[in-house]
Amino acid sequence: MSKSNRYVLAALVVFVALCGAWMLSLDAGKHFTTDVAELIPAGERDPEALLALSLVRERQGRVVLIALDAPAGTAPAALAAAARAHADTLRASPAFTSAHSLADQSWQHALGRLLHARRFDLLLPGWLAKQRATYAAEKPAVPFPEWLAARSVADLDAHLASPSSAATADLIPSDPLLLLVSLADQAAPLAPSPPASHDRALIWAETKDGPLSEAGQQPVFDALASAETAARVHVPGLSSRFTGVARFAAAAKASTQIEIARLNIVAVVCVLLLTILFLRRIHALLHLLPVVFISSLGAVAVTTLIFPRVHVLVFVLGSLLSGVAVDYAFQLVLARRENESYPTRLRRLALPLLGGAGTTLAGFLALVASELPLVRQLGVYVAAGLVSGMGTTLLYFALFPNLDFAPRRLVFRSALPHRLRLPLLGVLAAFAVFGLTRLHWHDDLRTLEYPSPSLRAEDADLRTAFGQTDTGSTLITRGATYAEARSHWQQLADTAPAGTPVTSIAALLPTPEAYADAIAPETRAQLAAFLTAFRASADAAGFEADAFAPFQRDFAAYLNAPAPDYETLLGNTLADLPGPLALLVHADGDGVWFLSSTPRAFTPPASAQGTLSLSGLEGLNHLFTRYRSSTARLSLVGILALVAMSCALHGPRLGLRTAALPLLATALAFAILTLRGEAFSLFHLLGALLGVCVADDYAHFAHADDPAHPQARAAIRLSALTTAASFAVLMTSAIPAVSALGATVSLIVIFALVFVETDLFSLHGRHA
Amino acid sequence: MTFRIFLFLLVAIPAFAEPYAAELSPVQRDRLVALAKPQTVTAAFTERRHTPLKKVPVVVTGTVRIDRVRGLSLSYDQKNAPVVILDDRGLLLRHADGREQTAPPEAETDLRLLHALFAFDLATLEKSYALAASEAPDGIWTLAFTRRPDSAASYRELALAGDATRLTAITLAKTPNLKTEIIIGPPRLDVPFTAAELARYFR
Repeated sequence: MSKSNRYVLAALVVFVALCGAWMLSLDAGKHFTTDVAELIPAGERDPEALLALSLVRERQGRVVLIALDAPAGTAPAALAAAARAHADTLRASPAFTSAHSLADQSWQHALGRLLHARRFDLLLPGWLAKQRATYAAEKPAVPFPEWLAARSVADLDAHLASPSSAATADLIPSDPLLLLVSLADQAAPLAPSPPASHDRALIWAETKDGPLSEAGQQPVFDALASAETAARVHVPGLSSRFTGVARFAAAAKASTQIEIARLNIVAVVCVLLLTILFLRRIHALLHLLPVVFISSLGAVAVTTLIFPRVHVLVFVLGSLLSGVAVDYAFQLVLARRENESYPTRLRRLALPLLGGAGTTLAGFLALVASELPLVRQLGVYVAAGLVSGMGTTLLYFALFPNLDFAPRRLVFRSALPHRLRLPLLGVLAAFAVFGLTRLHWHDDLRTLEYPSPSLRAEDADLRTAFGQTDTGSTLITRGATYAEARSHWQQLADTAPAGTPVTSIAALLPTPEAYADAIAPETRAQLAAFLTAFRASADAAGFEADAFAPFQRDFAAYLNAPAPDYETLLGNTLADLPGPLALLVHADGDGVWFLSSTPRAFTPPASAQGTLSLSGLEGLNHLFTRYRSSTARLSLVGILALVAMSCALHGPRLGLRTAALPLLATALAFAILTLRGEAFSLFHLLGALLGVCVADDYAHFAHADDPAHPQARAAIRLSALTTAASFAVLMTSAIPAVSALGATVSLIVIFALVFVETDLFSLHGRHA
Repeated sequence: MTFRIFLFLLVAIPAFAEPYAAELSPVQRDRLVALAKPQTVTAAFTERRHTPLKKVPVVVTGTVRIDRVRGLSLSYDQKNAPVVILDDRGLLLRHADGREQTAPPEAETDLRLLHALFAFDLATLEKSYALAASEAPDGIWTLAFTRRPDSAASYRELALAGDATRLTAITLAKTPNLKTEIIIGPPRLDVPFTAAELARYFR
């Protein structure tokens, strides 16, 4: 081995060692993600997107709903014992923080105790505000404390005459003002009781770790399996079903991994079969493996070096890299001529190679400016892969200057006569314009997900069993503080139409204004007078003297104790919320939000400050429209860079013709897909950018075409067909975004190959 | 052999026995069967709720409707009072604005027993309550059910009172001073409910 070759080899080895060491140091769980939500920037300026993401990442995403189905005829006591054993096993597992059988009302009782203990702090202010409003409207002659006492006793009498009073007999001695009783209507929807079933028990559980992390998936599934075993001790024929974000995330991850493996295997087989058609020395193709390996390694290493978390879709979408890297190798090796040294060959091919790689690099580097992490990562991945692939190709094949793939001699001249080229171009351009005018966009975040209809159906069934419906609206109300969030929620509640009650934990909390009034010294004095007047009114109405001793004791203590600060009161109360209720509110350094629901669809008006209607991830589609527009702008920048570079390399006339080839190929691909009825998305656009860059490579390679040396043409043909086949394989993907990308790129490449073969743009042999 | 037959009878006789076999005379039993016979019953009622909070009971009035298939319904004359429906699915409060409230699951035991009381289902009552029947010469009769020590029921005493073949009063008592007395007026028997009545007063 010559000294220069030793340097070349050393350079390759050092590069592989550095990249390999970096890759080995990575924690795959931390650096790679399959989470669709992570495709949206963490710094997204759209508040709805941020809130939707926080809902998934915070406790809502950790909820697991479980149904235990018992055989017909199972004794209710046995099913109840099975549900208890299931919930107990989950609670004992480190993967879960809580688990409640819905038949077990203990957490609802805990809420009742919490509200009872803080009834004067939480409920009295709102009650007092209503009474003040009535007092102001009635303008009675008696002072407020006496009026309030008489009214309270009258309300209590009316309640005792109601059949509902049978359920509140134990509560009235400590709550004659009916603070908790009148709250029941508002609080009941917060803790819906699903319809009782004799053969099904429902369990609500919350996992310790987020559903998108490893710890939030397999350990959770293991714990659920153990819990099912524990439940079967009581009901041997019992079966269980569960749903939650973790299940979808795990299924999507597994499906995506299988999909990537399947697509890659099929693509490799297709490439091999095509290669066998064109080359006689198949074993020589093993020389392509180092090029593909090193370019992919370089791409992954640089991408993970720059981005702390990389979405696996980048690798799916960036799979073209192996095709492009192989293209350069084909071009370099197949263009070999007898008695021509490697450096001479490099000089001869420098312009097509640099032109092809340079324009592709410029196109993908433009994507780095995107605000969408996926697009940025893809830009870096392909750009880094191109540079390392090109470098590896040039260095590696320097070690094997006489390598010969032995291309088959396929005599296939198909150049169009010059006189037909311009009219045909005109027809094609007109067809492309016609197609493009009918193009329409449809941005849907769900196109990124691996479809799982059976999971969706089971999820819908379980949510229905838990009493959750899709008929209403889910609303989120934000504020910088508890006070602001509660005020914003009041605006929302005030704007809700009659018959559309807004259910929220916020309804159990006083407004800041009512609370401030309730703790004011003059109000305290009025309430002290009220307590005395209440005793007298109750006595006059025929109540026993000591009927309300617990109330009088607690109320006197409340009046004498210092009132807590509003933010402290709400923070402490909401931190103590039991069971599923804790998920209806969230507070952190960024502020506070309350989750609300309405039984019927309701869009909050603009006057309801700080409230947004959530419609799941589908509601974020408008974000994708924005991202697509921004990617389109960047793609235009990339195309302009491509045209400019072509013109700089080849002069304006040939440069424009060179650039026109990929652009017409892309326009025609879009036209065909449009006329086929396909709605376009961000991923068609990304596919177009990939396709333009690949097609542009072929346009540049066509310059090196020489009828006396048909190997160059064979290189383009082989490159294009293998690339088209690889992307046609992607069309079979179940992930709509990947399928769209495959269709777009493969069509563009086929058109580009046809243009090169027919020399429609008169590019051949200019530099031969 | 004789011993075996004796043993069989010893085990089998209680199983075939009528509920409260010792407590109820054939006349009393026939009366209850007759009371349970009408497919529909409609009657005015007055309810006296005794509570430890008040010196005098709270008195409300209304109409009771019984459908042997659908259960029992109480509609009160008081404005905006909900309709109370007690059937084999439990208790439902149907408010004037259409809202419906069900009783919490922990009330299931009591509701099952109250349903049994209104349906004269003695077999169910016997498991939780002992019975003392009394009969006055003037035709006034009383069936007093007293909670058994091992029962989970929260009502300590339930009572049915009547005059000859008519049920005139029902008493539900948790404690001596926390009880409800329902005085039932003359009933209209076997008058079918209209579709509107069925929709409004039952489920």
